[in-house]
Amino acid sequence: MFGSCTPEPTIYRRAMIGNEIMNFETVIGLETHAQLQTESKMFCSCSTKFGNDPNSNICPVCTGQPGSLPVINEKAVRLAVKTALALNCKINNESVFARKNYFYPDLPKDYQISQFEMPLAEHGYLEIEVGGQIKKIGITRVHLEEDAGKLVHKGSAGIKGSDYSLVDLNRTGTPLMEIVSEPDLRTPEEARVYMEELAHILRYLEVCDAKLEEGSMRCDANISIRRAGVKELGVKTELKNMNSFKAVQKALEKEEARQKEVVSEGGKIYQQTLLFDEATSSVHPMRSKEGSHDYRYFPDPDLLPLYVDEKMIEEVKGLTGELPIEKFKRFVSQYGIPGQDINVLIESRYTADFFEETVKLNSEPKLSANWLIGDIPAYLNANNIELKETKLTPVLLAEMIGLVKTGAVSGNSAKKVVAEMIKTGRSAKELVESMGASQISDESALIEIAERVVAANPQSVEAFKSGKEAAIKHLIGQAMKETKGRANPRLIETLIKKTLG
Amino acid sequence: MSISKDTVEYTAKLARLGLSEDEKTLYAKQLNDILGYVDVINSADTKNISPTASTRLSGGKEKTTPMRQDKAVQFEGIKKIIGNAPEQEDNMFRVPKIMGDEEQ
Amino acid sequence: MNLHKLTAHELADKLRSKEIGCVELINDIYSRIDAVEGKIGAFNCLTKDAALKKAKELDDKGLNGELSGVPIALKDNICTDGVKTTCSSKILKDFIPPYNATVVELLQNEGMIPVGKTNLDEFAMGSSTENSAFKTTKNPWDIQRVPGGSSGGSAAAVAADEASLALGSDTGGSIRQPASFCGVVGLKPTYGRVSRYGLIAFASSLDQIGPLTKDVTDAALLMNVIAKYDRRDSTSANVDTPDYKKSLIKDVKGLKIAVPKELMGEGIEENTKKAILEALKVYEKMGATFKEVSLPSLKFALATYYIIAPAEASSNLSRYDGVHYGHRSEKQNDLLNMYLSTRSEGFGPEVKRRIIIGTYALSSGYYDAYYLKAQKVRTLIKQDFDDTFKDFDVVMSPTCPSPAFKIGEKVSDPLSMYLSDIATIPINLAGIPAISIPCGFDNDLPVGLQIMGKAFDEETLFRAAFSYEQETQWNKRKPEL
Repeated sequence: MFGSCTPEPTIYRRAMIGNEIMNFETVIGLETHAQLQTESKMFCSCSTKFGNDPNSNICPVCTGQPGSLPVINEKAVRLAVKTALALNCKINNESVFARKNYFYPDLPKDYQISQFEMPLAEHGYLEIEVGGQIKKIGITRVHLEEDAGKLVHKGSAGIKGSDYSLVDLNRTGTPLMEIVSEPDLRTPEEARVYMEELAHILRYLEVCDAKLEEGSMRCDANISIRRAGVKELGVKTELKNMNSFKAVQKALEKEEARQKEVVSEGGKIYQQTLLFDEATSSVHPMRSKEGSHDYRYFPDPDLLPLYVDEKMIEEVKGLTGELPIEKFKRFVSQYGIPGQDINVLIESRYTADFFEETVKLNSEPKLSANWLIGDIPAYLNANNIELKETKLTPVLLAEMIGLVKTGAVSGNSAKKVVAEMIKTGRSAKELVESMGASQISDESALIEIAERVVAANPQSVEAFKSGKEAAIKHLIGQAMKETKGRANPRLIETLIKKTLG
Repeated sequence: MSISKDTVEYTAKLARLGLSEDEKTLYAKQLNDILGYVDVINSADTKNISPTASTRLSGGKEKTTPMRQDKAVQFEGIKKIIGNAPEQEDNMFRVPKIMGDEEQ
Repeated sequence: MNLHKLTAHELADKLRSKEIGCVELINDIYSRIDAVEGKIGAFNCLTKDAALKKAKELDDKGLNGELSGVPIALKDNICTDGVKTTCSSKILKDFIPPYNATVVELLQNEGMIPVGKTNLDEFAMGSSTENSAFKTTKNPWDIQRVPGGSSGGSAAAVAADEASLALGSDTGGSIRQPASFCGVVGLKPTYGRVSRYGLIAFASSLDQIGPLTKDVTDAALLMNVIAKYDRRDSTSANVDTPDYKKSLIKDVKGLKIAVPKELMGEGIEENTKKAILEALKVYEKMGATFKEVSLPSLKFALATYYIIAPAEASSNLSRYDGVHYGHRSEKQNDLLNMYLSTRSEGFGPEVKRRIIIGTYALSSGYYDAYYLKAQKVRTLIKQDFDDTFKDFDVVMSPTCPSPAFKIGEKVSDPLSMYLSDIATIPINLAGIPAISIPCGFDNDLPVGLQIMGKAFDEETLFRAAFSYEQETQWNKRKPEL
């Protein structure tokens, strides 16, 4: 090309930007709100059950009636302590509930009872694995607070352009745990992995069912960039409305790219809040005012300081049991099964315990694991049930595995039997009998069948004898047909071959 | 510490109090008198003194926090609570349109 | 029959001995109310039908408590299920609580009969009841004068025999000061003694509900009913309640009385000072000793209070926003304007002033200098009292610097109104109990003696107050209505 002078400078500039982009470091911190799995709310005895009619789980306290007063839910405190311990935090023996003052219709008292200067726990960490490396992400603090209610906007799809709004206070007062990470995350992918790991731990501890889609766990992200080597943090923006783990990564990727572009072109990043739009996979600034809020935090005079003594901490520790990462390490050394299989097994504590109980009975970790990773979950998923809801027990499973091992049941039949066990809880022996699923492994019975089949299928015999190995399959098939699938497949194959000479 | 009319306006906004111009002027003056009086606390020596957030006796040598069992109880008077709503629709509290500038 | 003139314990005796019936008593009270309420204006509302119904029930089924059948007035910031509770504010003028305050439940269990809700300074903020959005209650001793505040309605009702006894609330003197102005007995219990559940909050770390009565015995009996641990109030103290009847003995031998010079100095009227000194001499005659002491941090008490109380109030009153209950402005184009108009229309000037001061004291940049500092000074005040109680059993002072002032006299100068609480405020900051009892007259206006005690030591207060009352009988003098 000649004449135009744009190509070269453009290429040059692009290369420059490319270099600039490569020299940026991304800094991400995450704030997670987790709804605690308690029966009642944080400061009153209303039920926390989801899905009831609007304003059916309310009382004077959570609706902020004049004269009402809060009383702390002990279980919520214990769940938060459990979580903080799992996140390697230091528990503060004395923490303080503070009022966060702001006006909004889903907040009946127009203040939220939260924790500010003295939270329940601080200075912990969470380990994540990214690209084969283990990384420690600092946890700044864990604290307790109450949730707000829900708003329904009328006259439009969302709050923008709505004509009026309706307030449902069922959710108001639900116990929330806020977990704040240090800005130790460096990529959107790390952020997603952190959220997934945190969700796993919360579910494992039975503290929260941690579903971003349902709102039982919520994620706000803070992201900034700085030139590599610079110590100071850049101006951060806040991202909200990420309702899946994928969305967390996507939103951060978009914002990271935007910030890099702005800075590369000599622009400045301004502090703002952006919402992720799932439909367009993009981030947009929120339409509210700039500037920080003055929440006028002060210790709530209706509550005493929260005293958590060593006795309670020990009690909670004792009830927590092994954490996922500890269990993983132990399973590797104790059972010798592959890591990815272990991950499936320990996804839920129930399944992990089930596995171990089964192995205690039959000493067959590999076989037991296979069942609990493969066929059993396949059945459960197809029928939309969880293992703990079924009638299957480690005793029953161990028994079944035993029968397969001795050849009393074939692998295929076993699947059917296990499905029945899940439904009925009846013993393997009983079911095998009633279903006629026992495998015939008696040589003398099978040799007769083998001879019969060979005699009845001369073409296949011919084919096999002339070198077509696959022809034996037809003979085996016939034998299986005759025995209604009950012939021990390996044995019948051996006997057929023997008969054929 | 002197409080200006602008400060009164800003503070009133924080507290969602709509004030007339006259009120702002009057309160600025009265608040200045009051704050002028309360400034005397600056002369109190509070070095190494911790704040008293509550004078409640802990009722014992060990410090304990009053807490409740995690049991769900249905409040009998829910209808009365909804019944007090200035405006309601579908059993929910109805509020005028939210423009997005309420949270400060 | 002038049953309304009797004390609660006298009425209880007559009811128990069946000399009179409950219905008869209630009818007499309402006749009295009809006769004088026009002049006094103590009540925001009367609950005659419910009262008579309850009275009939008791006559039929029998009494179930020591104060069963006795008519009681309740300050209109105590929640009563199904009965309007307004805090004398426009913002709650039609508010009907969906539940009962704990003290109301306790009264009901005792079989006491609420006769109505009494007037107060709006949201309990004031010292004269002139801040009520509805009306000004008059002092039965001189209807040109204020009954005191904020429990002015309750104090006036008891003084005017419109109720045998009453409940009020005290945050900076709101039971004791009107008791002093109206010549009745008023007790602020130790913080945490009486449940605040259902008391519409003003300043959460200072508020307490307490009795206003015609004599010390009635106050003790009423405390036996209401001083109970309540799980619904996290600041309620889990301590046993003694039987206060046992404290009603005339014996103060060896009682050591401290008299802070800071509360007997300039600013206290001469006649009031005289009355207090006379009272101290009476105690001396009965075997007690008194000594002047100094509590230096008392000079900061008023300032400390006028930071802490408005700060807590500004947060407690945020909920009055027109969304879930109470008044909502007609001007509601959008939520923000609805908030601004509702609260502007609904709150009176004193409430607005305190909300602004309180919001300011908590706001970013000022929190340390004001709120935090005030909480530290509060520690100093508490320490001064704790130190004093090492060597003394009770502390005494005038309840107020002067007797009741004229209606309208201090309304336009908030600061001068605040200064009248100088003796009562430190007690709320320290969380200790104090009782005001009549101790004389100044130009036919009642003067009150304040007795302060150690935390949870209402027993000594009752003993000291009862002894003096038996000796002097000031409470027997009644206003002419």
